[in-house]
Amino acid sequence: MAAASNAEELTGLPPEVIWEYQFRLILVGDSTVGKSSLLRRFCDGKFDEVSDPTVGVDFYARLIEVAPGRRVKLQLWDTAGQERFRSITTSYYRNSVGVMLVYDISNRKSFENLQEWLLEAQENVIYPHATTYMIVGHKADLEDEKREVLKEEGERFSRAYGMAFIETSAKACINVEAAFSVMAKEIYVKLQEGDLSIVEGWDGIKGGFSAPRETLRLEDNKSKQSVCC
Amino acid sequence: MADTGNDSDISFESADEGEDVIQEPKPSQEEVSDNVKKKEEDVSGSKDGETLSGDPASENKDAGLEDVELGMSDRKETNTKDSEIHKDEEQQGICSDERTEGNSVTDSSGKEGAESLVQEVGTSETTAKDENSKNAKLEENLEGFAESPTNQSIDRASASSVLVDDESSSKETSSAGGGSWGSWGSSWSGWGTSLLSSASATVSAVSGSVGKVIENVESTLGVPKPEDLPCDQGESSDQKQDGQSEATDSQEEGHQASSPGAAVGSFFSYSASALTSAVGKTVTGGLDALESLGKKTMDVLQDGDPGLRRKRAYLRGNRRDQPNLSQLLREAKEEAEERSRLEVEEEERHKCHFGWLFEQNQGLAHLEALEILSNESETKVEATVGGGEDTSLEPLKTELMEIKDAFELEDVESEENDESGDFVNTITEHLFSLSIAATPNKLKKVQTDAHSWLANLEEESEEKEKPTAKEIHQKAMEVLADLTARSIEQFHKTGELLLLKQITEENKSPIQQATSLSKLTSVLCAEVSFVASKFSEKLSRIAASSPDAETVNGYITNIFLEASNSTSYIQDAFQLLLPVMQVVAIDKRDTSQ
Repeated sequence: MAAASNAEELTGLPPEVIWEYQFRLILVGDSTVGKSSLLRRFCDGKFDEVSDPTVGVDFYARLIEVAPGRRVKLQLWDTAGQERFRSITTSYYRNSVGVMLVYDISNRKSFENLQEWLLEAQENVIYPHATTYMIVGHKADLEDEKREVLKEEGERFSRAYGMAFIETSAKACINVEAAFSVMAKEIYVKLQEGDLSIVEGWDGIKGGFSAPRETLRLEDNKSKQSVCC
Repeated sequence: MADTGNDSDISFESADEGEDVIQEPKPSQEEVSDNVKKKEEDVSGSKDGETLSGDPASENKDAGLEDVELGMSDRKETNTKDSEIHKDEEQQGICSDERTEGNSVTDSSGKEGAESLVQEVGTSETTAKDENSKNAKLEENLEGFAESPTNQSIDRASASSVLVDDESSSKETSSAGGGSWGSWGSSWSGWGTSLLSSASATVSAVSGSVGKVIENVESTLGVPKPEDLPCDQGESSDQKQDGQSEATDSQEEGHQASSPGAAVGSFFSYSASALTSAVGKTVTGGLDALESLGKKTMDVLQDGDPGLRRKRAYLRGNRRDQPNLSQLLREAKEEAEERSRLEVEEEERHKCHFGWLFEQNQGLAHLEALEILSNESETKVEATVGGGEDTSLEPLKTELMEIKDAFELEDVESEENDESGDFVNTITEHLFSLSIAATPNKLKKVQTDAHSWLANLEEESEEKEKPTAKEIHQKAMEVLADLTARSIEQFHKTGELLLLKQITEENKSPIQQATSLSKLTSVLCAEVSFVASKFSEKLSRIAASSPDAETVNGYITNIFLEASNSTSYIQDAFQLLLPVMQVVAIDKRDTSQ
């Protein structure tokens, strides 16, 4: 519930907040696991019981604080989970710095397909070793009898690949904020430590670009207005 | 008594550091000095070996005195020479480390000697006093004479053989004190205590005057407190003692020659008395040296800087500079913050900027994604028709060219779509003709919203509450940006769906599809210009009655400008679909074959 109020708070951020970097993340996973719902909750603070399947890819954006006073803009690519879009969605991995692998805890198949999604992601990202992955078990609000994937199983999977793991629910607003925060922070730390860097011609990470850079800044903030979706 | 001891034992004589200097310059300093100076030069030129006897050595000492008088810089040079010479003297068998140690003993103005010989000092207070008076006399005669430690080292430089003894014995002097203190501590304790007590008086007097000198120099310069000094020196001399006590054994062996057959005990009692006088002289000599050193230093320091104002300012300046620097940085930071705040305000003003709004509506993202699709399609097309002169590809090439022709936009046909229904219907129709399951819901919503807003404006104009020109401009920008973004999105989705290979029988030919796309683009562009003109119309009505017509006219210009931007975005997106459409044609051909 804390996450809920948190999400509410952050969605109300003024649009002209300063952000330091833009991270492009891509969400993949089987159809109907709730990728779009998760993003709509995270970016718009809304949840709809029914939603149309995503066509190709959709876009969301939000600012998130990764360190005190340090904000990054997350540009989120919401891919279609439907099999028929596979050939198209693979094109969209390349400019992502992070990949969120989403499954539905009430859908065993979606969990088992993670392996395949991960493989596809690893094949298509430009910098396989610089890419941050995260496993998200969605629909955590569902009662236990509907659960088909134990939390431990998700944890074990993510541990095996050295990824972060979290169970979320867009409907109940559980860990939605945390999921993106963990990912953004992980990327930010990598960036600070030099494991990642801004690469010309690659849109995975971008510097805030609308602020003039010739000004002396003790804190290297780049101001850029951003969306409040 | 002590003198005799010294004379009889060469090693002790030279070990006495300053003492020799005090004793030897009995012949008038001035007399000798000239000769000596020459000699000094010779010596430093031809290095060692020439002056092995005691006399020249003493003369050299005097020369050293002279040298010191010339100034501190000269002295430094000489010292450097010394050490260079020392290094050459390998026959000494004493490693350069030890020598350096010996030098440092000397340079620390006999303090070390004073400490290690504390035990003995007390036993011959009289001698010490004698020496003191001697010193005083000598000092009168010779200005700067007290730099005996330095002289001593110069002496070493010129007379190497003397030096050997000098070195080793200076070691012994301290080791005799330090080493024996430790090894024979128990048996000596009684004697040591008494010695210590009497010695401490001397030492305290000594250190008192040393302190004064140091204080004098340091307080004027603002250098670390004199209190810290004794500790430091105590530490260093402790260390030296440790090191030297290790060396004691071997050194004693070497000195068996000078005191053959002597029992250790007698040796020490003997050396004790010798040392006593030596130390007394050393200490006082060292003190004098310090004092004149101090004076000299002050002279040099004050040279051209009366009252040391500049140097004081320099020393203190460092401390004052730091707050200055942080102040500077803070100011710079404040300035930067102020500037960034202004930038943020600037950004806010740009909030009604088309480009920014377009990005906020994910228009840019869709354009980018469409670009990705387009590029990949282009690669595919080139891979298919690019390579070789395959005649079987001719029909395909022709078709691709035809598609390309279809992408050449004709001029916007008409502006019939004044009504929203027409717009939506036309778009839906065109999309349907593309045979893709895309519904223009978002486009429809944007268009409807814009039209209703404009309609409301008409109604509201009859009432009193009118939106300002600024608000109308803002809204126009929002509508244009949204419309453009949704158009791009529509193209993007269309491209994605086209690539899904949903090829059915009733599919229209790619050329027909391309024509539909072209028409769709025209409709969208027409809608953009229609909306733009509507907003401009409202604004120009305001401008007519507004006192600030110029601003309003600026808004109108801006709307038209951004409308043309919007149109070019849409047309660009449309062009990006060309390779996609060509891929569709290729795929269709492949499946039909």
